[in-house]
Amino acid sequence: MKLSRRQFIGGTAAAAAGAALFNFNLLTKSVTAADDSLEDLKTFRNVCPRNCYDTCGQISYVQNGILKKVEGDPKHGYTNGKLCLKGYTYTRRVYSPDRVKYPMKQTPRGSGNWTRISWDEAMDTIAKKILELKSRYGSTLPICFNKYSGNFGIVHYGAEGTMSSIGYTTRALGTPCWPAGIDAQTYDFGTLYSNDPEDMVNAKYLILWGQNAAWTAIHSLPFINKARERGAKLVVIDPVLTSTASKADLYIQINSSTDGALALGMARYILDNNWVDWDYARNNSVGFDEWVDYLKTNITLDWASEKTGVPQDIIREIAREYATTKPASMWVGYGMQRHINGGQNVRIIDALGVMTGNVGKSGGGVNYGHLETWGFNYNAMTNPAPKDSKGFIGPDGKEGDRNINMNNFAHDVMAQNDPPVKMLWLACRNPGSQDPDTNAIEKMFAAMEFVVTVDSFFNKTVQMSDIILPATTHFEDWDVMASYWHYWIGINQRAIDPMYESKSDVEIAMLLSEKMNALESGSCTFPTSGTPEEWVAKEFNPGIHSLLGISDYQELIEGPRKAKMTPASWADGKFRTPSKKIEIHSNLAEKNGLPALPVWVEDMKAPEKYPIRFFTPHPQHGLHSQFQNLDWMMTANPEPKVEIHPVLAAKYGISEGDKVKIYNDLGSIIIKAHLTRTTSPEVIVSYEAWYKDSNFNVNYTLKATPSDMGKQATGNDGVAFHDNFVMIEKA
Amino acid sequence: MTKQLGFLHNSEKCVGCQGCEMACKNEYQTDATPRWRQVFQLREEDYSLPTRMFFSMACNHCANPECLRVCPVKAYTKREDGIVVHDHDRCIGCRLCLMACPYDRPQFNLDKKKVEKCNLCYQRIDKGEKPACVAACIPEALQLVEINDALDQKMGVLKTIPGLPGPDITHPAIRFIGPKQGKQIRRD
Amino acid sequence: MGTWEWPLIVFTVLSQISIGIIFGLLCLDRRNQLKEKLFKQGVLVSGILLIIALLASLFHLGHPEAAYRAITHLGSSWLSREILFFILAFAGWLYLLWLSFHPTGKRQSSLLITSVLGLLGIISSAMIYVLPRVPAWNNVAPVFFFILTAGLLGALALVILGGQELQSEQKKSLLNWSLGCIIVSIFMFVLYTSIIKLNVQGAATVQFLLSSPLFWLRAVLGWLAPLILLLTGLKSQKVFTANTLYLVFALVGIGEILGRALFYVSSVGIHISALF
Repeated sequence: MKLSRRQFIGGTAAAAAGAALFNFNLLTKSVTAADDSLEDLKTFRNVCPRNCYDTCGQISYVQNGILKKVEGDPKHGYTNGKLCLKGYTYTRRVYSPDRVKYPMKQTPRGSGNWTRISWDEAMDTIAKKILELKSRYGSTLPICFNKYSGNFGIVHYGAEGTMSSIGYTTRALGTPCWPAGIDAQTYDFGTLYSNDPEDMVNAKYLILWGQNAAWTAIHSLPFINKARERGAKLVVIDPVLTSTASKADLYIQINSSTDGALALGMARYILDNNWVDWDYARNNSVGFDEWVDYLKTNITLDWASEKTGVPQDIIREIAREYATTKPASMWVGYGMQRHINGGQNVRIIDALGVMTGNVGKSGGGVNYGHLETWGFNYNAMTNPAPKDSKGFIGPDGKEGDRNINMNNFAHDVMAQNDPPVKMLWLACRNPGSQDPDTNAIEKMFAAMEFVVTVDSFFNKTVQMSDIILPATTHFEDWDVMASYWHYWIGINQRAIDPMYESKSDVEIAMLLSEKMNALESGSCTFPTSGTPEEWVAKEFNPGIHSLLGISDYQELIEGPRKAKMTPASWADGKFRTPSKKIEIHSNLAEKNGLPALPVWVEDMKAPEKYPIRFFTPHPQHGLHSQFQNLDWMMTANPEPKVEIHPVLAAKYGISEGDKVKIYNDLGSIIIKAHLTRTTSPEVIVSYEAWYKDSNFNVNYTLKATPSDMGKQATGNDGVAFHDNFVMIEKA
Repeated sequence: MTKQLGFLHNSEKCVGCQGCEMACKNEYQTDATPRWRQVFQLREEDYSLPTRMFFSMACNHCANPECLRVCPVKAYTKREDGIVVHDHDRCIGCRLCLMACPYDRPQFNLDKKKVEKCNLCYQRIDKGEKPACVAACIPEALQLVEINDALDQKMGVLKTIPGLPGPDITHPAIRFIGPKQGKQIRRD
Repeated sequence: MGTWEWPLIVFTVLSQISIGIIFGLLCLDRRNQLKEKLFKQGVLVSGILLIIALLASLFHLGHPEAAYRAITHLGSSWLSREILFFILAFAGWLYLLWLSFHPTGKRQSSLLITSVLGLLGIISSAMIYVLPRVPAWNNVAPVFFFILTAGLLGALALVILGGQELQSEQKKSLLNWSLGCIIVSIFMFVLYTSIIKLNVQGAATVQFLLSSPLFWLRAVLGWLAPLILLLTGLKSQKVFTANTLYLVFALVGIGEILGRALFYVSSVGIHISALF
């Protein structure tokens, strides 16, 4: 990215009065050094708003308006005063010299030639473009919005609100990460709803399916460890020997994508030995006996062992242990369902939980995630479209937004006509880095007339944008955060003033609204006033109040609160399916073209030309394209590597440290090899991340293959990220 | 020296998350390149089964610190509790301690042109708090301990682990609990 | 592997030549063969070399302006001791400088004291590197190497400086001494490598040296060529021309500088061996 020297210096010299010209040296003295004065040291409550199980409670230490360090909030009962390595690097994000400081425009797009513009000019340009497209096409449908999990703070749904307030737009609908499992649990239980993770201490047996808590949900470890201290056995099932798997009492290196077959094998053995909790299964579900028949007719241990590569005696061992140890908990990871049969595999594992009576029990459960604590008002998101807005007539005859598949974004954007998509608005999202088929994404961006991105760093998506609007970090904003794993909700205070000229999504929305209405009265319904704290206050409702036992959101400033829910999900047996029971036989699934029962669906086989499976899971250093680019992280983890089994490496003449080209017909990447026996000879592993100033991206080789489920609950099927097949050669 | 404070690192619990590394950096807001505490991954071939195993090392506050011996300006002092403190103000950046330490723990800061290293958070310890790294370790793999015979006689406590310089050079105040491997069903 | 430490190369080599010259002057004086002019020139050149050396050493520090603090750890730091001894040697040199303009009878004792202080300085320089962390250095070898440099280049420097002030007897004597130093140097190196090879880090050092083109350059320029020149010259009883002497000095000088550079670069420390 070439930022012209003059522009940058000119930019920094003209820094707004309130935004200090920051230098890392201002941070250097420790706030705990004995000789340091604690004068003017303030603390604030924050919550990490990232797409992460742990969603940590944080305490920020601010002195003289400068964030000195960030620590964990000891009052948070799940994160218990500790952060992960990423959380500790936050000062480097807030004060990074690479941070986008001002609205900037790039002429031409992709050239790296950025000039600073004022907020007024930015809003003017954007508003004029929106109105021009509206006039040209008769609607705001040519504007496509893609937002996801860069910041999961509730007030950040103001980004969606921005779009709703200008009319009906094209929306990237869906979620890439976890929809197959969500649908599976939706078909089975009515929705996804996991036990309180703190309840895992009560488990006497734990199975982690394709879940790497050590690196992606580390705060759950102490609870798992406590269970083990009390005698629980930990079984980890994963094609890759992860850090979590390294801790297991029993690690099973399963053949990728065959977890459902393993669960079926276990189920058959449990059935044969009559370890079934018939009472629970028959009283709480429909279709159980039908499934039992399927097991009797179609499933044998032979078959399961052959499919999964797991020896029969092991299948028998874990089946017996899981069925007879009470209570037994299963944690289904998101990695496990990133296959074309991922959703179906989750359904099978659900059924396994039901058959053993582990659903609805403390220390048990088939735990995937939950959204029970997310019942906010979404006030920032809810704005009516302006009068006379033209929209897309949906299958239900109603006029509204036009939805495209977030998980096939490049293709779907290009495929729209009547009207075509001409403009993109991106917030909390980095498709340039995170979406499958990076080459296709690049082409699609290039075909747009105008791209606006709200972000903090000049990442790949920003590099392909016309205008970048600088986003605040969560320390510079008011918000409220829930988690999709633990049961706590926390308030996030504005600890420091927004750096430079950054703004939050709602502040941007308010500015845009003002500008649009000035140009064309009534063209935007987004409110034009409201302090950040007022926006947060508006998100609370009696439901949230009673869930947390508070009467005012300000009580959360004293500390985060845990939702008043039973430790075990589904303890009340009130399932949310159409039949109000667990639907082992799901008519809804059948209606959607899926098997009604949790039966085996074939996994994807490697094509002959590309025989090697390329896993791209999540490392501890980054959260998607965040954190890895920071200077501390670059020192700790300077370059990407691909993990290759020595047997596979020898086949291609690759030695430790060699540069390897990984390719298929979509694209290629070049990366250093690390030989390790923690993967298998069929699977190579490289962690998805954005390294500073690097164009390295595993997604150049990744096809947007859909997983089998996701449409029902999230609008679109997910991406089978781990069904990516490649070839390798020494580069 | 009335006692020797040091670290006990448990590779059975450590998951290589590098939280300790970053907690240290967060506490002192160190510059980008010096790594006062560093997490290392153990070599697979040193153990019977391959797993991901780690150890974390900061300054070892050795009983016979080479850094202290060679330093021409007496920038290093060893406290009564065994902590080896580096006085940043006295340092003249001669880098002899870098040459002398078998663990490469003193770090040369290219901007400040001085050495810096872990001081066992003595400021926190004097206030009765744990070092930042120990306080941050989520699996509780890193502990602050007193190195003494009682500790060394405990089951499973090792003076060194594969890949480390022999402890007889400087008698580092660090003890280890080695990684444990469970049963593995493997595809190779 | 170590790095190419220019300040340390310059400091150690030049300070060693400087003290070598003083020692050479002492030896000549003890045989009552030291002419005033040679004494004056020797002292001057020695001083210039020592001053350049001390200045060069400052560049090794991150904060040269605080170098004065470096004498404060005499209790255990060889670096402190080295600096102290060289400062004292420098003081001795100042007196010698004064003497060279005001001749008195105290010349020999001053030369002796300055030589002893200088020798202690050289030994301290070497002891800095005797570190348990670097097995290849953790022995008497650095002391020998450093003293050899002083003796060898000191003698050759005096031959050059001596010119007309030296009789051919003395010149021959100094050249024989230099030849002896070269032979000892070669022998020492062979003995040294065969011993340190037994240790992992030492073996890595030996392997590095023997496969380094720079080492072979050092061996040829600094050992082989001067050895041949001196041997043939001394055997044939011919008088060495000035040019030959300059050549020998230059060859040995380059060899010693390369050798010192390699001393730093070839160091292999005991270290943590982990994956990442």
